[in-house]
Amino acid sequence: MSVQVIFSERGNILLGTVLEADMLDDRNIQAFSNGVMTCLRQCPQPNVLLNFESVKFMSSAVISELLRINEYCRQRAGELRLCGVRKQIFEVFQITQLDRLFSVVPEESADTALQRFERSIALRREAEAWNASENRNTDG
Amino acid sequence: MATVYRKCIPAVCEAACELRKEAISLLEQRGWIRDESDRFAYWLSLEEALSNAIKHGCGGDASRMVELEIEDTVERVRIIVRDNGPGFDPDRVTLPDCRRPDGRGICLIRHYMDRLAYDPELGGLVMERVRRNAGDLPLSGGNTP
Repeated sequence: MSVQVIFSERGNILLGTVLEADMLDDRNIQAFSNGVMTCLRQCPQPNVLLNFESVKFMSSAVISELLRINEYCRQRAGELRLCGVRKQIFEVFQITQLDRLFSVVPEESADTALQRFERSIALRREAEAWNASENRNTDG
Repeated sequence: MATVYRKCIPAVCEAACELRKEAISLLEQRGWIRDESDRFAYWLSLEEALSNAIKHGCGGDASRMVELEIEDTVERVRIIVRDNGPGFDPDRVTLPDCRRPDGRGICLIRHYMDRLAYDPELGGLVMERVRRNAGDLPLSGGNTP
């Protein structure tokens, strides 16, 4: 089964929508990962929102890939978020306690998640600017 | 318990996906899948157990075989996944640290099944789930993933 991840730029965020697959498993996990990573490698600070609206079934192999993608983003001062996650898949995140690591709200629409993500990036940048200014004052 | 399904496949994920599809269809016909919640539980447990057998039991060697057997009674279904690997005790598998990428499949099966064990007598990983509504009649057809 094939899978495609279509990316579009929404302000500071790369929105990736998973298409052509209602299940992500061992057969298409590599295609999923390649699709995401090809786009991320072009981005110096990847803030990524993946939309799983079309996905009904997801195995732990996908979670492994999401953790690798998350680590890649984190190392570049970016962030990975998920949206459109169905309740049953959200439960998988809860069972594996990864709801603590990822910002996931069950069945959140891409538009709402984008707004929340943009606000979070704005706050993060404000904090970074504040810290930089504090450091300058301390150094001076 | 009466065996209602048994099939052997080469240890490759394409064959495992077809096997999972057949098993889900059979579980649906026999009334074990009544709603999307049941379907998700069996889909995920089969996917994780078969994937585990291919990767760890067979070491990714496509010349080796994996067998799936399903037995049931009125109130309980038993799914056995066999490979030629040494076996393992699923009770010793714990949830890994949240940044470690692998090792969550067994924890997921444990959540969705009522019993999970490696049974040397049955020769494989044994998953059991009790019927959620004993009064249900088996369904026919449906949307099989």
